Amino acid sequence: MRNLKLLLKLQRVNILRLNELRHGHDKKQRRRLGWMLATYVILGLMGLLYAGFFTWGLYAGGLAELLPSYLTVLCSLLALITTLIRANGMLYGLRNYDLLHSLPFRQGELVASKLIGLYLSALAISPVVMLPGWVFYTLATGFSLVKTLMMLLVTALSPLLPLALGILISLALTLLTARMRHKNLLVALIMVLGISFMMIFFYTSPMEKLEDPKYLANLALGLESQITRVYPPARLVGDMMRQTSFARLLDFALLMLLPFAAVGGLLMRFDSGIQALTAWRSRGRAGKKLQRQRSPLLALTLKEGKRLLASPLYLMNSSVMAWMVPVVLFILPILKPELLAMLKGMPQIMEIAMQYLPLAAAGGIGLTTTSAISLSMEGKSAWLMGTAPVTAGTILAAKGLLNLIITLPGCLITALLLWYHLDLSLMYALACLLLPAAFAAFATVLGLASDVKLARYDWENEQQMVKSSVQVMLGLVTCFCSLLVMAGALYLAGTYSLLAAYVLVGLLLLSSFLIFRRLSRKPIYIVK
Amino acid sequence: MQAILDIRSFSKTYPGGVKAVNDLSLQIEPGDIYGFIGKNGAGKTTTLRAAGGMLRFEEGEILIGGVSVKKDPLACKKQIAYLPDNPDLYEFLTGHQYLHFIADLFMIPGDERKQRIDSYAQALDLDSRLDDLISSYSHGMKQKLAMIGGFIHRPLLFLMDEPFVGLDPEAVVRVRQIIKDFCAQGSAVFFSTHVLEVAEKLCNKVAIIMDGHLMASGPTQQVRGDQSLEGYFLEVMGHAQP
Repeated sequence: MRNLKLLLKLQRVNILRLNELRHGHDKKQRRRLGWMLATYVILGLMGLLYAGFFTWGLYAGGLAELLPSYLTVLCSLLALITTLIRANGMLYGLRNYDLLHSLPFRQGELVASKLIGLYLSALAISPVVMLPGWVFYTLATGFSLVKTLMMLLVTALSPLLPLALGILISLALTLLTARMRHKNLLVALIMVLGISFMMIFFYTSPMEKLEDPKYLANLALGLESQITRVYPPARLVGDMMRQTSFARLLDFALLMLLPFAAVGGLLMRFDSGIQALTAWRSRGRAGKKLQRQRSPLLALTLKEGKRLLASPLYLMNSSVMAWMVPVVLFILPILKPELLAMLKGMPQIMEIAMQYLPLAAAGGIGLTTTSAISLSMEGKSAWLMGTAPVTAGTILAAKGLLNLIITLPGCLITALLLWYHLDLSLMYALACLLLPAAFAAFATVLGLASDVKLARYDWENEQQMVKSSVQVMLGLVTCFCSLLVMAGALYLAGTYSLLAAYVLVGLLLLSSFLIFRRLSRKPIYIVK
Repeated sequence: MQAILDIRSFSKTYPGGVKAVNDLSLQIEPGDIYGFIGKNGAGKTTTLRAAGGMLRFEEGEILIGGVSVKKDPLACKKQIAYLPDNPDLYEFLTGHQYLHFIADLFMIPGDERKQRIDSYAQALDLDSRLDDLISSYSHGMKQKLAMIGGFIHRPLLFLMDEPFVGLDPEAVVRVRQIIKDFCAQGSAVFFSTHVLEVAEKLCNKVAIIMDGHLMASGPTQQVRGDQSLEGYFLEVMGHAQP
């Protein structure tokens, strides 16, 4: 137990790099960390606002009874997605654990400390989702100390089952693909498909029976039964809160704890074997094509691509979102053709949707970028770029190109699918292509700009950059704010929203060009 | 004869006020194998990094082939190679991929690069491992690979930071021979080292630096006089102690 406490302390002191903020003497670094923490706070507040707005909608619509089960499903889904993305990096990608394995810790203690780390990171999201919902639920049903305690327990317990599932799925995928050459790409594609399926079921299940009179008679219960089809354990939470039932609470607790304990035991038992399998490396191919001379820009772009594909964490966090929109648009009409027909039969909703469709596609595809940490990802090998005989513009162009190579096909497929499914006019379909593409370019250069300003090369593991770097957070916040501004512009444009979308395309491209030109003149990879 | 590397009154103060190098001047000419000797923290790496164009500096001037590192860093980088003390390379690439990447950056034609890669890889006994990922290499193998990456574009000047650390004795002998052959063709090598024996045997010129100040520089024979280089170095360090 003492050893476990020590390991957890090690994780705790490094959380959000607070230790560096506390003990570091480099003013610039401290300022950067301050910015990072501020960005986390802003993102948390934005999450609260979003969850608050959404749950207020249910409350105002007289559906407050739905909130406990709905929030449980949402938290569990987020915990599952977080775990799917993070599990392998956290369990088998932490370099500093090589040192810890050489110290007198038991295997079980090391695994337990990592599992607790994963649990806490999944748990961190829950209050943001749960809190506003809980406030509205209390407003609707009246305050009850017992119910509040029950909900606190549900909040603490609900990430456990998704965590166990997420670990099992990502581990199974890793082991199945361990000896494949492009294993990371394959795993990422499977993850994109899996997450897309989950989201489709989560968001569309409540809509399936909107025309059923029995269902409409008790909308809250009807919706609950539909939502909990996605995640049946949430039904226990709904029943528990309605009946203030400790038996249901116990059922829920056991359902969460037992699978988690089983997966934990499995990992503790087979940890070293899994470590060995995940460390397997394939030999490269020195084909004749390698001898062909490439331009520096192409060589740098290919190198960036290889780095991305070599890092599951980087790949999953920076590229998955870009492919989620086209994949969902591809799967949705196949899985739920009735939804599309229903949507087409609601002209008023279609009109509003059409106004923001190109922007929604842009946000879905372009919000996360590879470029926001692409300079920093050079890490300790940054000296190679520092001594390379190429201009800053070429290096930045290669890093930006990679992001565009990932996002632009997504933009094209999205536009084509929208065109096909919604019978869009050519001009509208073109706007659905150009606005996401221009926004992807804008997000790319914004990412580059934040990394030029805040690059850091002395990281110990990729997790520090991919998950908790100020650049990623700053990129997300600035892109999100830009989306809000553009949404405002489209709203103001009203019936001229299509024209406004084309104007936005022009503005985004011009801004991207100007920012990139300015960045190209800055010295990069040169230490002060 | 124009110096390949001309460092004029170079000083570097890091943010926070630490003065790493103070008014250092030295010249390296074609064919020179120049050893840069000093204790840990003396300012060797700072000087090498500044010459390599990776460190911003305000005081002094560094010219490579007559071109200022400050004013035209790109032209300078085309003329040099740099080997850091810890060769952190792209671990996600294989040895071959890495070398071809470097060759692409320096725009070396296909046939030429193949011939050079084969020749250096054989000389350093790395040819059988070039298809493996760099992440599977030992420190010494990474060192050899980084060195080949430096030699393949035939730079005018090769800056090396502790190039012999981590190499096995056979590799040390081979690297010494490669350096000699390389400099015999008119290029120059400027390297820092703690191994005085290697410096004495290999370098035609040496410079000794202590706490950022250049204590001595010139032809090895002239600097050490009648003593061994180790004896002279210890004497300089001893005299300099407070």
